[in-house]
Amino acid sequence: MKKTFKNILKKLNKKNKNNTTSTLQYDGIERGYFVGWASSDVTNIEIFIEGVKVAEGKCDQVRDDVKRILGLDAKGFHILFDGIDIDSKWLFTENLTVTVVALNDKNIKTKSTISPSKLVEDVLFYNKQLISNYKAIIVDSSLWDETYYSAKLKGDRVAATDKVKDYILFGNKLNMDPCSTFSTEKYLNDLVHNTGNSDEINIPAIIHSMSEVPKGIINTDVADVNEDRLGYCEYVILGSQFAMIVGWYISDDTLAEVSISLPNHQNMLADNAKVMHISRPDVKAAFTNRKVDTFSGFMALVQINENTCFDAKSPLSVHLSDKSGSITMKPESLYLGDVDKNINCSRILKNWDPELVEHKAIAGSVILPMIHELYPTNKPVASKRYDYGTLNTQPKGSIIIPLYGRFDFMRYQISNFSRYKGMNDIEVIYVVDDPSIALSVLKLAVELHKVFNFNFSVVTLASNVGFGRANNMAVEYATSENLILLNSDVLPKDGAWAKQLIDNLTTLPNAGLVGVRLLFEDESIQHDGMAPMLLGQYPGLIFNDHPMKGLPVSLSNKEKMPEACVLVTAACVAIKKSLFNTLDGFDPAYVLGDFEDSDLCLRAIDQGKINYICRDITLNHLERLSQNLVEAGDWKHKLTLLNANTYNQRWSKNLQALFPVELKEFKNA
Amino acid sequence: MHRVLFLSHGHPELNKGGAEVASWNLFEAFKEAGHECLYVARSDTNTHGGSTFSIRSEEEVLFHTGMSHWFCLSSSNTKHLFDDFGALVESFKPTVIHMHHYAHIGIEVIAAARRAAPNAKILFTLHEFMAMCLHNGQMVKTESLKLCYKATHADCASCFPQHTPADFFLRKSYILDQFSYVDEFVSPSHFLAERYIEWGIEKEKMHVIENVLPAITALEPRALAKNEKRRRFAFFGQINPYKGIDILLDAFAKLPEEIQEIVTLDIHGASLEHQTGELKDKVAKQIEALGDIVTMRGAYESHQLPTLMAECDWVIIPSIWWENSPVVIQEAIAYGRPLIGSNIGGMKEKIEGIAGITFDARSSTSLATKIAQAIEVDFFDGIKLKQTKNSDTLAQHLLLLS
Repeated sequence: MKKTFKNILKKLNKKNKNNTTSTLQYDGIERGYFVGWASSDVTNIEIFIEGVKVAEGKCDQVRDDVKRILGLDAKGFHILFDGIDIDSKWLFTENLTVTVVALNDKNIKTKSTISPSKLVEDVLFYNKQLISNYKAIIVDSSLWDETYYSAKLKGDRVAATDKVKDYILFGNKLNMDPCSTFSTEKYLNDLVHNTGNSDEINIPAIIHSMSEVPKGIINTDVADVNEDRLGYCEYVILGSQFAMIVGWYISDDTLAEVSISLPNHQNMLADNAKVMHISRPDVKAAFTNRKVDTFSGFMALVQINENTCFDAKSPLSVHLSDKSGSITMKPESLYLGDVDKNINCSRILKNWDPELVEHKAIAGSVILPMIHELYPTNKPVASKRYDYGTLNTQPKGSIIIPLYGRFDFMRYQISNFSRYKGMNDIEVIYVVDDPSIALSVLKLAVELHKVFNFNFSVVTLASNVGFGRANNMAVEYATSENLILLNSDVLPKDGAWAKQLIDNLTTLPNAGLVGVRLLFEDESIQHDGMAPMLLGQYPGLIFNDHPMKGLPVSLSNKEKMPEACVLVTAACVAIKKSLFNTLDGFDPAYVLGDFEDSDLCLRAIDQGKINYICRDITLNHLERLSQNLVEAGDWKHKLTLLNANTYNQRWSKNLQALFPVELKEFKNA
Repeated sequence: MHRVLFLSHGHPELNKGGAEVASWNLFEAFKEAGHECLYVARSDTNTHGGSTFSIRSEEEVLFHTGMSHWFCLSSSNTKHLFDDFGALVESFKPTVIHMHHYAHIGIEVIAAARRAAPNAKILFTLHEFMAMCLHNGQMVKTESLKLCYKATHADCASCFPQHTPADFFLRKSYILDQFSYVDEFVSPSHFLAERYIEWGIEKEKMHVIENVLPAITALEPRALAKNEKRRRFAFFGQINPYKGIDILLDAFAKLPEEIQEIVTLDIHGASLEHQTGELKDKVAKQIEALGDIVTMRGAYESHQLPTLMAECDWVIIPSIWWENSPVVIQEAIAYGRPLIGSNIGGMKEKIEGIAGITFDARSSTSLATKIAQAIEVDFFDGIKLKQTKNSDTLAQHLLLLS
């Protein structure tokens, strides 16, 4: 009997040698990972590009699909592709060979090819960090000058759309500089000199140092340091209505006026500049021999004369003056507002210090006009409505659901709506606030209508307009007077909620906005009515808080029956269409979101309405876990603070009156 | 008379899985009871002229389709589900739709069946935990392979870090939506039924009914030579990481030498070929070390079972996952062979006090102790198998049709 076993083993080994059962499949790079699968005898693999080993890892992913389709026991692999291994000479090879080899048997392998540009596009990690994290630091530092960097690019890389990624992957290795004032080579030499080790010097170290460099490097050669007036214009961001001028100025008198002119001396200004003074310790440190004010930096918003004809090739002149004289200079860099608006937004916000009273006070006049030019809210945007199924001409209510990014939520919602019969006379309108997903959404809509036999509509928008305006535009399509504004990541627990909410909207005395209790996926509280909150690190600003967030419902001692509640979230809220229109909907002044719901709540109260929360209506809200105000640093966070500032300027007095207890500590500056 | 349309995720002649065999046995039994039946089995082979269906006989249809989103067990192929399968249902006009799976088909097939036959009763038999556990429905943690006691969204996300707890919330919500079109659920074990009720299926809709078996005549205990002990053990089933074969072999290795000299272990049905390197190497080494004690007997057909069962005294089922109602337990009982099984889930429920003894799941030492005990003739004679009449089980199934 022992022989039977040995025969089996022999057969097995033979099979392996003949390679009849061993299979290795490479599917490509997906979200920064090499993916594919191998038959179960392959446990570990190595991946080579042009013969250079770039990754190794285990085959440990469940791939039952392979078993079912091919009858083969297989495990998938999902191995990080680290951009640190990219060799810059690959850029000049038309097609790169990718080889995947089984570690236990080098004969089991598979080959594929990839173009260098696709490779660069697909790589998402560098030194095991997301490249986007590095990008954020580089763009946030004052050391990134895209125009400067792009001008130095040669060959295929000129066409690359992502220049920051180019710098991370190649530029730093080739000693290219991110801007005129930062020398990659000098930095590397200094670091090697200081540490005596060149192996550890890489992009993370460079980027780290970029984040620590003060806001600008002073070029002390700009003028005779003994002149009465010294000044420098670091850059101008030029829009069609506004320009932002940034630099520094040293004089015995304060900077009084900033202006800008064309080469023919035609003044471009329609109005006087609005100036924000910026702390520049680096400038102060650079001019040790004279008295320099800490706030020698400036950021000035100027309104451009409508009739100005601007030619990108002809240089602009910037004029800085105080009460007794002026100086003129060329800006070092010129950025066009509509090119890479996020980077321009980041440049502007970097100069804004929300901890300074003066900065908070004038943000509305200096910063917001330029930011609203970058993210226009008044430009007409085309929209189109698609209906799936016969529509009820007199629905009891209209639900508006914006879709942005993840549109698969629509599958779960439609499935849920169709399961519970209570949604039959409710109109459901999705509004796609992201043209890039519109086609996929329409395709999914056809599928979902067929599967669930549920009637709904989709409104597509010609461009991304932001949460508030997307809602505003979709409300125009609503047939019913009773609106429910719903987020796509909110899922009802039953079929009664919508009618219950509408009943409350129509029967509660003088109702403005009517909100509900929202629970996370673990059934803990997500929203139970909002309250104002103060944060130690941003004194003088009021934020929105979700009291009891993350706690069990049983700990809430709040009334279950509808009760008045000043601030409710717009993730799920009912409001009369007529009131929504009287209030002009959400205010698009809040750039890229935040605070527009509490702003709408306070405007309703200003109109004499009462807002309510109905805690007997509960839905699940799968709110993103990433919203953390304390995590400072990136420009989107600054944007939240800017929106907070706008919100506070409008409402802090009202809020203090409405929430005397919560805001006892509030010192309005 | 009822018109019963069976839907299975595979044909038992093409793929001998538990659910396939169980649904097939029921199909045969219903036909014999005089009902008009159609067996629809999903198949992954290509078909003639690209048609969605092909047939194996007038009453056996193969459904050539596939699933597009394994995460939420969903298929975007609405033509296959709603047009083609829908038309099949409409033409057969079933009074009962007896579903046994959605895997490889798409869970939307339940809605498609409901749409095509609004008045038919939809029965759904649960065979494992696939709806609640993304890990092949095993309720065993990924990586560590520890037993999982409850599918919570956060725990599921730690097994599958590429998904968030919120994703698992949506998955469950979606699957429960589709399950809402089912009229009654059947679970072959109380254990599985309780887990599903705790998870979210309405208690009122759940019925615990054992799988039916084809007619089996019980065998006499194996005739013993003089002074011979109940020394012959058998394992029936696949070798995969959840079946616990390594624990079984380890238990035999731990037996005292004088017992090792007399016991034998026959492994039926299992093949090492489709296994991963690590398990295969481990098991191959274990088998080699046990020498004459273990015999790999290879695959078998059901008609060979009486002979194979007759050769053994005990059947061992050492699975490290919960199991539901493994057909091997029902078969062993029917043939009159007691079992030694893991003391968890479906095995505990179907064996303890009914069909043999259990050992501490995953403990080869515990299993070795039980084996040493089991060879004693007196101990063996003390085990009384509680036979459930196959006809009673069938009656319960028939009762559910109306």
